[in-house]
Amino acid sequence: MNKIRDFENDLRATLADVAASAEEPPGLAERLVTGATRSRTPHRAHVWLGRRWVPPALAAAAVAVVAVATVATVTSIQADRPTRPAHPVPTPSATPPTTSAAPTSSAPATSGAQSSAPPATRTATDWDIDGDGRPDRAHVVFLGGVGPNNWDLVVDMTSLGQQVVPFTGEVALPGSNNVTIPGSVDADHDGHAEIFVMDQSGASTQSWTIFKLVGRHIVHVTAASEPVDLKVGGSVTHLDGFRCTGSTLITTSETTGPPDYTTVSFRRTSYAWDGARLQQTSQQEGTFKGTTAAGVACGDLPQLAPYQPYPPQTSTTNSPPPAASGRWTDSTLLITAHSLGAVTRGMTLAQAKAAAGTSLSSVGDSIERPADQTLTGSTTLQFSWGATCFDASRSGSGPGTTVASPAGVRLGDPVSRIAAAYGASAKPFTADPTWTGAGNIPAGIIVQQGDGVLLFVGSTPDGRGGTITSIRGAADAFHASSVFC
Amino acid sequence: MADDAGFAAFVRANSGSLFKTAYLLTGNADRAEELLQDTLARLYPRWDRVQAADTPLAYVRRCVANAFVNSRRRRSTQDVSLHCLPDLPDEANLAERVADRGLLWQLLGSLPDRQRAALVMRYFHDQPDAQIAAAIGCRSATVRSLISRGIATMRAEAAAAVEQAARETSQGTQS
Repeated sequence: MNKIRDFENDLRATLADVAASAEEPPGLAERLVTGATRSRTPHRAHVWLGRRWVPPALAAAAVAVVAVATVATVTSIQADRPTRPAHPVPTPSATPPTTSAAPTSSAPATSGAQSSAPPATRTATDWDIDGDGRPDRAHVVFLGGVGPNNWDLVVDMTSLGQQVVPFTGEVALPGSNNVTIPGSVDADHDGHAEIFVMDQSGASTQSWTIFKLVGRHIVHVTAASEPVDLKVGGSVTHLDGFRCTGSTLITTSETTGPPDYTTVSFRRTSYAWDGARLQQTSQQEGTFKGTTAAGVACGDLPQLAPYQPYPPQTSTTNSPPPAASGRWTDSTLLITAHSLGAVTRGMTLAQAKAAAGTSLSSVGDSIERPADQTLTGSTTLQFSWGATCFDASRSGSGPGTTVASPAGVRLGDPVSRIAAAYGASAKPFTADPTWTGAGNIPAGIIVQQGDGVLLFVGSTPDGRGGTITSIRGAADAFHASSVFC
Repeated sequence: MADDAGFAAFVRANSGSLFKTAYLLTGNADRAEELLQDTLARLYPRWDRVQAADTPLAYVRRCVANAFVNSRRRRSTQDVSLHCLPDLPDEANLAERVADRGLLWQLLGSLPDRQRAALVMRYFHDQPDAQIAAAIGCRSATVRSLISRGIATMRAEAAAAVEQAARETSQGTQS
């Protein structure tokens, strides 16, 4: 049954990925309107492609447009958004900047709450913030001043009543529309639609932030302990955007310049959703020849510009997740062939305890784990005596420490991500049958990393399918005579 | 009399979302646009009915799925083109396709139209059986069967492809 659910989840994620890549061709809406109202054949010449099932990346590339022109339509797109007659209509724009409209409370609070939010079992529809299947409403209210907390986000939910969350935004001037709600979509597929708020709008670039329901409260989503700040839009020399792909949010920043404006430098940063936090998992930088085309691709949020897959000749480098303290109390840790967080190969137990930042206890066979297992939630961190082997495992589906390899492959990811990240260097690994001692050497997929190895173990019996349940790092191949953990 | 302004506003606001649905059904941007144009051209003369629906967007989406199934059904009897057939997996880079979910997308494209439509409506739009049944013109029990068979076929094909990729990787290592 679990395997079927895994497959269904993979299929769901695949469809979400493809849909995110399938950007609307330029001018489509006008062609559709004209084609229908004039009752004539479509304007657009039909082009038969040799490949019917074109990979989504190629298809999306085929509809790339000049981003600057698209960004210039932001205002009209928002202005033209029609009301949906049978739905309570969310307010997609700022309330007039009068303090008299301010709600009485500025702290997250509930009123008229009937019951807790239903458990998330499927992707929520747009504006279903509390996940009960009915659309909710939200609007923003300017409280005055330059901040902090000079705005309120007021959310009216059908099951949880009204909640008010303060945030800091640009000063509202009469007639301005610089703080608005572009939309509400279930970006992380947790069964509750997130609320996207544009809190600043400059001449070329906007800043968006996100609010979401966690437990029974609407909270401000953070990244690196700060309210998340997504840059959107740009001008001739730069363009920013983001896209949602299931459990990941990817921001993109592109710059170009003279003399020919055709060499584009980009940086893509991937974040994993972790409750109300966005945890950076990897960053990719590079250049390509072409036109800047970063944009928003996230459910039904306004498509300010198309997401454009970079061409094959793109030169890229992968950066590891951001440097952190490496303490095992951190919410995100990096695992390599020689380290797990700040605990590195060859450390004494005392050194390892100091590096882990928490007390450790032996669980037998010279395996050390944090004495307080609740620190890491559903993730188990451990290393073998002498710190020769490191292991991060995931059991259960609750929240736990995020552990990622240098290429950004994380515990809980589909096993297929391993090949995507490591290519041909990812090899099937069969457990050494001669091992009869303590410990556990599972089968899985192994990747050589310099003079060490990383072993990824999948949830299927052969360790090569499903989701990644364990990542192990060691100095040598996993066989009976070298290592166990 | 159709409400021109209302129709145009609806299309402008929802063309992106509808295009995604059409793309998932057809697997091709040109066919997706063609499908949308056909559907909207048929809906336009009775737009007042669409507006009276509880959720106009969901109503139009169902019409898109219905048009897809029916248009493909008609086409299948008269327009068989090799260009329309799904590509066979390229064995050389099969492992990478598995990796980036391209394989699942490819397998979805190889399913019969009604199975594919049912899977898209269920796993992308989270539609219940009854709504899917209304969209593709069958009974709810048939929808459950279509989804079950579609999933079973894709799982079997995916498992075979992954096994083949593993075998090839293993052979590559040995040689």
